[in-house]
Amino acid sequence: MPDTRFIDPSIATWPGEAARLLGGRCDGCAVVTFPAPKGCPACGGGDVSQVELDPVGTVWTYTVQGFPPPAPPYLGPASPDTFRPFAVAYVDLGSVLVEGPVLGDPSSVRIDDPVRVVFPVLGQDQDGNDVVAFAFEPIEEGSHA
Amino acid sequence: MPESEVVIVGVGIHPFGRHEGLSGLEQGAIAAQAALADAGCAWPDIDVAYGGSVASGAADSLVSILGLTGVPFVNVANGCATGGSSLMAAFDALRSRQCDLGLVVGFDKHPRGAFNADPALLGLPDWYAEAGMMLTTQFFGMKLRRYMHDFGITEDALARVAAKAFRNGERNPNAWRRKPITEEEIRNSFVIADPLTQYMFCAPAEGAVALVVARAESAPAGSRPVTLRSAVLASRRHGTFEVFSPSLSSTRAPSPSVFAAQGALEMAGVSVSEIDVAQIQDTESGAEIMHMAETGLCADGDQEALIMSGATEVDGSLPVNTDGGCLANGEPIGASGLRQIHENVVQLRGDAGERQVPGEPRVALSHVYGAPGISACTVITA
Repeated sequence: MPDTRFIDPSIATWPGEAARLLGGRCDGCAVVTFPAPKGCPACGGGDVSQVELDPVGTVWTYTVQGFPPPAPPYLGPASPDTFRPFAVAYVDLGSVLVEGPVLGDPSSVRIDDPVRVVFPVLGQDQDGNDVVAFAFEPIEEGSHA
Repeated sequence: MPESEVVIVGVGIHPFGRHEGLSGLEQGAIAAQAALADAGCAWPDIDVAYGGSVASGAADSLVSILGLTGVPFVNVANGCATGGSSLMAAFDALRSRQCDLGLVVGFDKHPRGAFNADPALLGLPDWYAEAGMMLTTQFFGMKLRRYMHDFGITEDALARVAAKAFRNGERNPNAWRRKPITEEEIRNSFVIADPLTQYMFCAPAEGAVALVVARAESAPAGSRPVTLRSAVLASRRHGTFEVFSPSLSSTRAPSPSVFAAQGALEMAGVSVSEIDVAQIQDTESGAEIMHMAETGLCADGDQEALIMSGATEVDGSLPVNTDGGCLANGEPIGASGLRQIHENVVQLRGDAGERQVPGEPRVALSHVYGAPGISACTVITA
């Protein structure tokens, strides 16, 4: 039976309403990296502790992916009929800038836009399972994060 | 014993582009033979060789074409800095007097389309590619978008850089793209990674370049040496913005290009104001703009006025990518860095014909940058 699975259980606390991305904080220099590294890229320290990342942030920079990424490995809609250009951004979550797709109209994304992390279905794997990944969703003005 | 001065005495190139029926290795051999002929020496005279290709096999296989002379031949694999790293190795071997005459060669023949990368080979998780983020084009678009935001660079400048590349390519018989393209066509071409369009990106290609390098005392009689003053390589530090990064540090650090360029200028003992001509990595239009500042050729944000006023044209005050750069030549990775040095030698010799920088240029900088955050710079002087 096809099921729903998360793209990589080591990078988030999915499932759940309050799911969070998981990074690693260096015990020595406190630098946060996503996903959690084996060793700290800043100081070379070997002790890194898992940390839940803030679910809201702002767009630090962005682009629009104009053509379908090679599939496989890409699991999203990649045929000429189904592909739609999508925005990709680095989102400043305070402790670290995380790269991810931005949902919605790609032409409306701007630097400093507020966004929140969400966990939509990206596509299906070869066994027919729905694969859930993370993305960022614009926070509408006036709504509560 | 003091270090020996190192000179480039021969340059050879196989034209860049697409060449059906000719392997990358064969193009490398053609470039090597051209460089040897230009230097006025023969393959058996060479007592050390360094070379590399990313997609076309082991460079030392060239001995089966050039001749089995027993020469020590080292294969170099360092991504986009393969050519720069080969030259650096030859430079060190010559200035420390381990040998007299060296060959440096780079060649490649890539399949069409964007470079595809395997996440596992780069230490990245599979989900990064499955989620549609393992594309170099996204990195270029995002680094550039932030830079434009911070320093007021416009999309007009991006189109101008590409148009310059194709105009210079038109005047370079070894270039791939030799037809001028208007800024309007460039802006209106397919958007690959906003704000970058199809004609603002270079494409994988084919080609080969070879250099014959010598200790100054060993330069072949009748050769036309230029002096190799420095060759410096730098890798990334924590906090730089590099391709294939699932996250970035919340604190920023200067690009490896900054350190490679500073190091090359210091080793050469020249100041940036003395640079008469520069070849800098232009994987896309924005890269040329950002690298102008990273190499110290101008301050952040000054590029807009320099580009729009024509300063970076062949006859401008700061000629950049006079042979059309990666945009007009395409990028055979193993050969790309050496193409820049080939062009700088041709310019300093006054042999660049229709694209010759006026006023007898004497000091030239070259700069490559590539994944996963490496840069190599050289300074040569007439």
